[in-house]
Amino acid sequence: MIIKLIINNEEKEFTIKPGDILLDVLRREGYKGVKKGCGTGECGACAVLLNGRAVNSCLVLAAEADNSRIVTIEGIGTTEKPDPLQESFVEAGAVQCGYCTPGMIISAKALLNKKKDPTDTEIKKALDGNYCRCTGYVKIIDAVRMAVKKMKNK
Amino acid sequence: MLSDIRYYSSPLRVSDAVNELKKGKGKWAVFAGGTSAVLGRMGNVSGFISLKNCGLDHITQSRTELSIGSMARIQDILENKAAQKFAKGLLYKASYRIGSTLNRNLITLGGNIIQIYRWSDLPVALLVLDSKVNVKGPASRTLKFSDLLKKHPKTVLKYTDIVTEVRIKSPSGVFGTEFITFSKTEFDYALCNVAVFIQMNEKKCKDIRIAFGALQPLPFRAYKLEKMMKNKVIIDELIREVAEEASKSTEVSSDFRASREYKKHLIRVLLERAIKGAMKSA
Ligand SMILES: Cc1cc2nc3c(=O)[nH]c(=O)nc-3n(C[C@H](O)[C@H](O)[C@H](O)COP(=O)(O)OP(=O)(O)OC[C@H]3O[C@@H](n4cnc5c(N)ncnc54)[C@H](O)[C@@H]3O)c2cc1C
Ligand code: FES
Ligand code: FES
Repeated sequence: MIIKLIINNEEKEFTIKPGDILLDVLRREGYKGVKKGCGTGECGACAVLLNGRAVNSCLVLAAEADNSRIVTIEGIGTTEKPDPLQESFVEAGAVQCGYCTPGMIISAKALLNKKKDPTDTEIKKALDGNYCRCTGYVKIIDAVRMAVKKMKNK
Repeated sequence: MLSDIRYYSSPLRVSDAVNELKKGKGKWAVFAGGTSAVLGRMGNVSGFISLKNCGLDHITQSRTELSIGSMARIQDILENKAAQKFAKGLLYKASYRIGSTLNRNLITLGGNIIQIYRWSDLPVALLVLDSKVNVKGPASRTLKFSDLLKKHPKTVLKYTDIVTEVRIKSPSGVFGTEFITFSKTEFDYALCNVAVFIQMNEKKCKDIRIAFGALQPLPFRAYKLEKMMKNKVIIDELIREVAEEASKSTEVSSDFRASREYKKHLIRVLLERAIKGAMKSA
């Protein structure tokens, strides 16, 4: 079957099988920033924005996403023009191996799109499905707070 | 197995979805949030009939009841003002505990009550709210949620049945609620869930409903304990007695998460706290 997606503001068409998983389709089509960790909805490495909501793409059937808008980490910012969240993750030292970082930023982005000034509890709740096995969570939460400040001062 | 999936459709009407399920002769299944479906936890299935375009994601409150479409996501329940406040926040508390934000954006109410695991959170709260479930199929009907749980919902429903919404009567009078869950970590599955709904008449308990989850394969109402409290003046001693009885009489077994003794201890402590919490909110 053929599905149409708008990925990072570009219209795309893919041929898929009815049982294909969105994560696998995205990676196959070159969106390698979307990571595969557990593949069972536990770790958040595969997070993308699906119609504005952060979801684990390993639990989304590609067919089910037909006609949706998807944002992957590639659509959040570029090396030349990074998003405040991406800058803050670097500046706060919230990245070590970096495997969890795309998912963390996607979850944080979904939160900041809804709440300009989230509380610490709201930040932690928004990131509750993203595991980091290197950094611990203190600097990651610092990075989100730092991004909030940057966005306010813009 | 996802590699066995040969067919997918997303009809625009529930009646069309029912017809699709009939065509599938039991080999095609309803697809809701997909969080169990894509993990291959649905047995021998070769097609998915998605409900995403059937318009079942409403959350509406009338003067008498709250009605939640089966395709409403758990995160929708958390963010909807009416659902947040309903029954003194009982649905909110139970939904807050489900999975992670990334999963709550996918998991649907319908999926959470049909694909019940022993640790499922929301069904415990729905039990004490005396919820009703609308089912569309060759024989459309309204079921008491407690009847849907007499056996596993997947065996109570036929393969052509679709749960369309859950309806909950707005509680009246002086009432309070509490939901307490205990797990090893915030994200881990529950070891014990307790929900309490209590209606007071001065110091007397006019009505009470108690439900447990995570202790047996399905959540259940504790009718015997409820009887011990109904029409009684509630004092600490009675609450302790009921909690002791709950611990003594509830069948639990050891597993890799906790021993039988530990679970019995949890039942006593959590029920006592839940009754007191419900009374405080009344
Ligand atoms: C990592 C992870 C953690 C989780 N943690 C928790 C937790 O802490 N607490 C908790 O309660 N849940 C938790 N869940 C969710 C739970 O395990 C189930 O996956 C979920 O409730 C299924 O809902 P769904 O909408 O995704 O349903 P689906 O996967 O789409 O469907 C599940 C089953 O229900 C049937 N079904 C769905 N909707 C209907 C309907 N309207 N009518 C008829 N049949 C229907 C389907 O045919 C299928 O058999 C977790 C899930 C994951 C992946
Ligand atoms: S790969 Fe999707 S949650 Fe881990
Ligand atoms: S930086 Fe390595 S897993 Fe988070």
